[in-house]
Amino acid sequence: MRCEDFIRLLDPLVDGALDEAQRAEMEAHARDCPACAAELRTALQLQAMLKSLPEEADVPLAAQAGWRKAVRAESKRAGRRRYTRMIAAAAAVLVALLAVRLAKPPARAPKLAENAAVQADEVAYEADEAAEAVEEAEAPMLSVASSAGKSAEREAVAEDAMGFEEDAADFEEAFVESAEGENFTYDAGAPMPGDAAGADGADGEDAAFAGEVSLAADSVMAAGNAASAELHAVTIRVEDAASAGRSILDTALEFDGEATLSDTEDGAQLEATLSAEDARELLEAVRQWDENPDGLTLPELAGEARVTLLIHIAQR
Amino acid sequence: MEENRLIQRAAQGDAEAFNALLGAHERRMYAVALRMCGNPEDAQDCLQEAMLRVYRAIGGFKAQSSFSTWVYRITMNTCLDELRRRKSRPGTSLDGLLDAGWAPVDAGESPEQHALRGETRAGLEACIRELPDDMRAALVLRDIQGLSYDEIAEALNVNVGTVKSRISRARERLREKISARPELFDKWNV
Repeated sequence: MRCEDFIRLLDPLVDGALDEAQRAEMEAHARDCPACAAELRTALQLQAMLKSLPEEADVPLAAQAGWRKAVRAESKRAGRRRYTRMIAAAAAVLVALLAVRLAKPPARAPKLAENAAVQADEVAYEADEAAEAVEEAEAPMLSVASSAGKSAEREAVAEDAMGFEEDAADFEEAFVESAEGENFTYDAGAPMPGDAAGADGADGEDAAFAGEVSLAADSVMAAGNAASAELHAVTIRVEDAASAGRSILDTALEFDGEATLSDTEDGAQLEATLSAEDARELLEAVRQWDENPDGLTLPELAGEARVTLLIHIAQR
Repeated sequence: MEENRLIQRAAQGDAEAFNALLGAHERRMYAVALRMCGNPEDAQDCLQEAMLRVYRAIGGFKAQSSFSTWVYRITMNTCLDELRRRKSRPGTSLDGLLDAGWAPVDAGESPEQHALRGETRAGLEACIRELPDDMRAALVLRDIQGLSYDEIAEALNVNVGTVKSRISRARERLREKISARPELFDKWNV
């Protein structure tokens, strides 16, 4: 065996891929070749050292909480995106119907349909903005939403609106045809059945429509409103702060509100903003972790007012 | 809950099932990120990014490959993307890497041996950090995380021959570095 063959066989050797015969050959060569023997020693030592390096590492509490929360936020965003699409699609339908009901002689129809598409796009934008505001209120430190995703979203909604534009134009044509067939003349200013009472046809529709959209946007925004009032601090002592912190965070996130977990010198701290009633429930759950011999007095909490809890989880 | 059930539910968007499923992988993912990125801050960023990528992609996970290998693949890609994004190569200083909360390893050492070998291990981590990214990726997956050559090929999306070559060259470089610093690495043999 030549030295270069020996060196080449070092890898399969440490991988355990050589048979008896090959290993024997290598041993024989090493006996007569100090240089290769040294290489072999180094190779074996390297493998022993690599094997002793840890394959796992503790993830700091805040980082553990971080990705879990980011994933939850992502799953909510997916749900909310569907909601946003629904609002925008519904709005696009209303706008398209509006364009139809305002229809002038066919020459102007394409322009109105174009306006319908533009308005649908604007509505989609606004609904999207409302959804963004909610996201920001809920997940300040963990927003990893890609803006590429958002503009793709907007395009998709605008496409939907374009589809409605075509439908609106078709609808108009059909309406005009049937109307002319019956010697029926229509006037944009005349109130149609269902118009807002006493309002000029166009403005009335606009106002009602705008009212619907802003109502939808409001309810989306309301979900993100977290007005915190009183602050309550509680300290518990536990055997395993990491485990307790994770578990308490998971519980806190079940409620409707914000919760964050951070490392402290002697353990962890959970900050949660919830309704007073939910806070009470959370504290009851937290109490079960506490190993303080003196027990835990919990503040009296009830009702719907928002409170902020600071739960200090001290490692015993 | 059994892994396949959790995967199914996670694939439907169930965040809780996903968190439970990936909870079993996060320490290994973090260990990989620490060695690839070289410091805890970047490693934590990569961990979070990798988790989100897994979440977004899990809907398309087919049971052909093992889930664990697939998670390694996404973790590696995330780290390699981050490394490519960095303009300057990070220096060889280990930036908190060594204090990063490594799990204790039962290497059959006495406590004294373990203590004495600490410096050598630190030296080895530094040498690993110095390897070019692709070589380091292959070596870490093989000689630290214990994946097979086939699994590594899948994780790195290259063929097995390439994996063998990268590992061979990585080990050769490490042997050179070891031989060049006998004062550090001879301490191993206590």
